[in-house]
Amino acid sequence: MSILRVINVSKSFGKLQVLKEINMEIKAGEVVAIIGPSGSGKSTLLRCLNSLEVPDSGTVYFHDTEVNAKTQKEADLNTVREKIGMVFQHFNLFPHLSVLENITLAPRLALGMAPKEAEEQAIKLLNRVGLSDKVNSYPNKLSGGQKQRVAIARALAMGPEVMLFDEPTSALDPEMIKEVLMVIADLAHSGLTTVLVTHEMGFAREIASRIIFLDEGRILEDAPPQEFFNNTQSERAKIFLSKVM
Amino acid sequence: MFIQVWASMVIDFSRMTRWIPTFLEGVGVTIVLSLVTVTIGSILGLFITLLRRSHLLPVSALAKFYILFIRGTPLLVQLYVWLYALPLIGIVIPPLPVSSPVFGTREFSTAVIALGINSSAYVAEILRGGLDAIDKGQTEAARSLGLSSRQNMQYVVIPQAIRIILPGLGNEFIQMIKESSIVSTVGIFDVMYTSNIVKAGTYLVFEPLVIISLIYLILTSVLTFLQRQLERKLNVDLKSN
Repeated sequence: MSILRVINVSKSFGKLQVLKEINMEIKAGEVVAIIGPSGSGKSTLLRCLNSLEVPDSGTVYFHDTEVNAKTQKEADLNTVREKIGMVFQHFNLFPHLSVLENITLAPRLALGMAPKEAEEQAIKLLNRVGLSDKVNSYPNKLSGGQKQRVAIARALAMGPEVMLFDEPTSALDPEMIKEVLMVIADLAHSGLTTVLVTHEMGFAREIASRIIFLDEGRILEDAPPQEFFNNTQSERAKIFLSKVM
Repeated sequence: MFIQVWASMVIDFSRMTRWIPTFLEGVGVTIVLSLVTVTIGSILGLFITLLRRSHLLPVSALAKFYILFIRGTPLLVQLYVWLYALPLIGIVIPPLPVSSPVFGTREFSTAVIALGINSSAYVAEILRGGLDAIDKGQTEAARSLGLSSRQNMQYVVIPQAIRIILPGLGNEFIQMIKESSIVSTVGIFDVMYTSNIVKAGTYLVFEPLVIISLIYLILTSVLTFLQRQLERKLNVDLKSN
């Protein structure tokens, strides 16, 4: 069963065409790593999945619902977004709210969850990401790795069917990357459908069930990790791998 | 008590004491005028900001032109237009329904409108600055969690923007205390106008001007102090992501 489908999606920023007729399908339980050189369109593709970017042409489906921030009714779009968790490169925690409030805000407002229930759930999630002692801290008191783990908990609080990670470790100091990757691996192993844009090749190889290699707005490879890393087809991907590994 | 400056000129503040009630009356008018003006300016300014952020091009263009026009012409000209030009084409601001000889005049109500509209353009700029300063990632995070655009504004953007906006609004109020002195030219009994009254009553020029300068300085200093306190209170636990 496919959760997300991308059909013939193209997207340009000004004169630069970032995505060129992309087709892609994400099935329930898959862990898909999107890799490729900088500027290849990885993040844009990911952001099209929950319509933070709206494609110029083509369609994105979540189950059978078309996701489009321009044409869809706002309430319908919000219902879809509740089911698609997103974690950003720069965390984007709400600095005026405590860790607890960061996590409970959306469940309370968008799902109408009772404050007490939302808090209990938030504390469980903080436990899961190993930050139960930071409940009442503010984001500016946390390290980068801690911020990103709170951001993951915040996204999980909505009970998403799929999680999108947009280079979740690219803004972190090297010593903090591992703690975040461990949390993501834990989620992926639990069977949560995951789409991950990353530069961490070793990690992608370890946790992904599929690797998508993107270059200049086109999908050049789409294969299980063993196949992709051991039997790379395209010249582009070979050059890319030789540079990063 | 007096100081002899030139052979012919004597500075004598003792003759000012019996005019203290007059000065105080002017202080009251200036404070009321500034408060009402800033209130109107803030509400109107918020409205202009919303128009300016509209996705409809003509609406946002109109709001931009409004701001350009108001900020690009002198306040004194705007006041005269409201008071003397617009009535000629039938636009008259009616006096407020109060029996006070100051607040119940057409001049006062017109000054409130002219100053309020003037202030709104500056407030709109302050609000825009505050809203623009909030990182786009905040809105993206909120919307990706399923919050509506209204909830995003109410719970994520505006609470953060207020901390940036408040100092600007405070400055606008302080500015208005001083700028409102312009209404004395149309006969409104504010602090500035009291110096004319005292001058006419005593034939003294130097002393009343020194006194009203001090009055303005005290008013703005007190406000600056209050503003600092408020900012300090708001800044306790914040900054950065």
